[in-house]
Amino acid sequence: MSALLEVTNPEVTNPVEPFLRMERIPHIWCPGCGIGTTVNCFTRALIESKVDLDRVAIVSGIGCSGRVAGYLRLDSFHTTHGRAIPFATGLKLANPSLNVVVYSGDGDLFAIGGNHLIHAARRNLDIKVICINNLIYAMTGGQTAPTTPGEAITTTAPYGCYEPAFNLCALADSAGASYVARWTTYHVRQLTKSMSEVMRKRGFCFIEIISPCPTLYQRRNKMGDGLDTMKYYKQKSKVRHGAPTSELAITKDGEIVVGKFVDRDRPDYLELMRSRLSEQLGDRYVETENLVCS
Amino acid sequence: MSTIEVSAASSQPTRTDSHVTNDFSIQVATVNGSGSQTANTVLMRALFQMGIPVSGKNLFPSNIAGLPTWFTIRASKHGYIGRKKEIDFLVAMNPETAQEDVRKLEPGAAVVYDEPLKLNTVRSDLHFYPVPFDRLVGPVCPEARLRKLVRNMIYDGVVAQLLGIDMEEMRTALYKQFGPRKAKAAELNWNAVKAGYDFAAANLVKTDRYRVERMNATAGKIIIEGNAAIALGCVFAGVTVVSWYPITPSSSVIEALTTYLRRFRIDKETGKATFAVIQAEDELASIGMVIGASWAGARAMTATSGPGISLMAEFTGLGYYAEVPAVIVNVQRVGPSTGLPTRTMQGDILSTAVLSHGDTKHPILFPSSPVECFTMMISAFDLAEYFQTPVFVFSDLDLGMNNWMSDPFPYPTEPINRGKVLTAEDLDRLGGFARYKDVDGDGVGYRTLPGTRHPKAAYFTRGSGHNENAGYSEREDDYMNNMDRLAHKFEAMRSRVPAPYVDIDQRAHVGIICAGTSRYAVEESRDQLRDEYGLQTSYLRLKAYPFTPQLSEFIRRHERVYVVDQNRDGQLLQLMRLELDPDEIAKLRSVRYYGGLPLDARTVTAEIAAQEGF
Repeated sequence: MSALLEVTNPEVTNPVEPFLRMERIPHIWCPGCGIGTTVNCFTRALIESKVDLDRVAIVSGIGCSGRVAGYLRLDSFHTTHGRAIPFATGLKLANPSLNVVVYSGDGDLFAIGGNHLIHAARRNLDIKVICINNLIYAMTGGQTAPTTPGEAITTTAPYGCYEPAFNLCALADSAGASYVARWTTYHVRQLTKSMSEVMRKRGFCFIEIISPCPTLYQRRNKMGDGLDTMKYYKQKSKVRHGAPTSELAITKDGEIVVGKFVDRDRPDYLELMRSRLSEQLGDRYVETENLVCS
Repeated sequence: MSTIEVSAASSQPTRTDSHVTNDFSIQVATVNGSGSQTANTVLMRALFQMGIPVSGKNLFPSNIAGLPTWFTIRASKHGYIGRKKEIDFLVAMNPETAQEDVRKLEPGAAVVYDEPLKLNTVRSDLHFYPVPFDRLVGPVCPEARLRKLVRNMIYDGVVAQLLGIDMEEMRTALYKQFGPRKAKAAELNWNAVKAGYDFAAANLVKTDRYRVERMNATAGKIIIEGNAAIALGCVFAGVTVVSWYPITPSSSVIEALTTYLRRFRIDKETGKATFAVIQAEDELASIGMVIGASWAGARAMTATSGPGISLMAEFTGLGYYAEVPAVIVNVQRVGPSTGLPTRTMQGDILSTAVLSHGDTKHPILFPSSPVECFTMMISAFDLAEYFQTPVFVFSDLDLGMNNWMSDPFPYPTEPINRGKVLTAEDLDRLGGFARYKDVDGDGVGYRTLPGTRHPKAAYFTRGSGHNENAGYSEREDDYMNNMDRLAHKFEAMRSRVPAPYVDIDQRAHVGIICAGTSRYAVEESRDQLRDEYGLQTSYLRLKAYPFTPQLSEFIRRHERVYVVDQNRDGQLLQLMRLELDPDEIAKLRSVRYYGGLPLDARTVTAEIAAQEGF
């Protein structure tokens, strides 16, 4: 049950407050971190998209971004490291009426959880994946992630990262996602709009959010504080809706292409299952409303 | 600067003449990421330089910046370096926790606090020292941006003055901490320490009992974290391939190891690295890479913590059954699942001893100190290669991430043992080999390394059923013979793993058994039991699983034996139950602590005293 709180004093209440577990605030994120901004956008997207909040479930993995589920006043689950998507898959299949959102970080979703992500996209499972990409493992102290751009300094790459990084949008696109977008934490309005869109979109949806980690990534790479990073995002970002996802690679200080790159309609996993099985089994195929025992 | 009224209320404890010298704990309550670690390390190091035995324990939250953190320094003239349960001297810098921190103190404790917190109104049975930190930091640190960090150095000066810590030692400790390259930062911080000292000297009247005096109990000792000691042990063991995935509290093992390898393992002639460190995409991959590298003949290792161990279960079974060496360091944290990532526990013993499906058993080493972290890494590699099997080294967060006063590490006296590996010349002489045949009677077969230039060298390694010649087999006798040989190999380890430390008191009817970091609480508790209850105890500290014959001998000599565990289910005791005779098991009693903090002597003493009926 999400059960929105009664707003006792509407004049002084922040509009997103009813969506947060206020008893858990202040949150754990560092000054200048972008994760809180995305949570703000997400709560606004919940308002804008007018989805039934009792039908929204949030699933997180481990890491700084993994803490998001704990602050949202919705049905939420904090899984083990990398396994938010398998959990979300089970959740969606058991109760397809739920709007399942996976909210986690780049290390969680693309290193330890990378296999799960591409398979969920391949199935076009109807879940929404919001990936905060801060280009680093932050919670464990700033090690190289599969997203760390070349030459960036981390605790495990003191001479600069030499491994090629994943292009997350290209990966999600090529694995079959129905919706792929990228924004930075500077683009709060556009991000909110994308989030609002995916809440109403069927199929595997993926939003990448480039987000600062002033404590570990920006500081080590001499890129300033949270505010400097906002300025950097503003200067370096280029909106290119529909850009081929193969052209979206992130470099250490180059251009960041943002926008909505993929928005297509493919039958999702449940539709595929339904059509194949009813075609083969005819009347013998009976579908239950959901698998949750009452 | 005006003189500050120290007495808060009329019931304030009066000045006492009974000094407590070199026997107290200082707790500093701050906020994560505020630079307090430097201040605390300087304080600890200055005490150490004065010859006083010290220990430092950092209690930190699972986040990067902004949540409450407590650092506890214990000074003990008796040399006790386990956690002391009571806090004698509090430095309250964090408004969020200050009130509760003060409420928890025993009467008579001293409190240095940030003046605006008005902590002197909370209680009247403590010694309060208000310090206007914000007012003091301005003149020493004109740059507002740095004040948050420099502010913490001021309490160092205040504490030094109140306890009588030699300022020259403070200065040495501080400049050592910053190093020669950060001389300017060191000067800025030193001025803050002095400002704190001068303020205290001019404005505070000492009323508490605690003070320090120079001793000579730390000569020749070093201060080091267990994780760094493990890294050094790996270097001396000749590690060449390291694969890992970040996880608290083990990440600093590999970070330290990478630094040491860069320094000590670059070939002087070619300038090339003689090692590879790779950060994998997850723990499944990291143990996989270790087993691959070990099969190729490298000394390979990984370091992880509980959740990583769970993920390594499948590959560990392959290492056991296909008989490939691997060294896995587990810096234990609190489970189950994600648990408490920044708290300490010894809760992975049972699951690791038989990690993976089917009949498996794995050796585990239990280092208790930085010295043993160092020496046992060398033992672990030798055991892994000799017995051709995964070997686990079980540290914990307390040992791994805290600063320990330690003896210098002994230089290895024995050459490393690479085990039974056949070369092309050996094969010429022998005419061939059966990979899984027990030639020597210890259950360990001979192996070749891939790439050996000999027509008889290659063999097919598999995790599926196989016979002596490494051929695929589903035969009943092949399977059972192989499993029996593996069990025999495990028995053979008993004479080669590190033997326990045993201290027999001839008068004692009671014995105490523990492993790893529990030793500090247990060793102090033995003194408490003797001094306060007249209870003499014998003591055995396990260093390895499989257990050695000394364990049964020890239990048989005593009427009751307490097994001290840092987990809920008494896992060390449960593991013993699987191996011991019923009459030995009947003597075992369980002492368990599982709150996530380093075990303290009072907890052990109270539990044993209660079970002894005192």
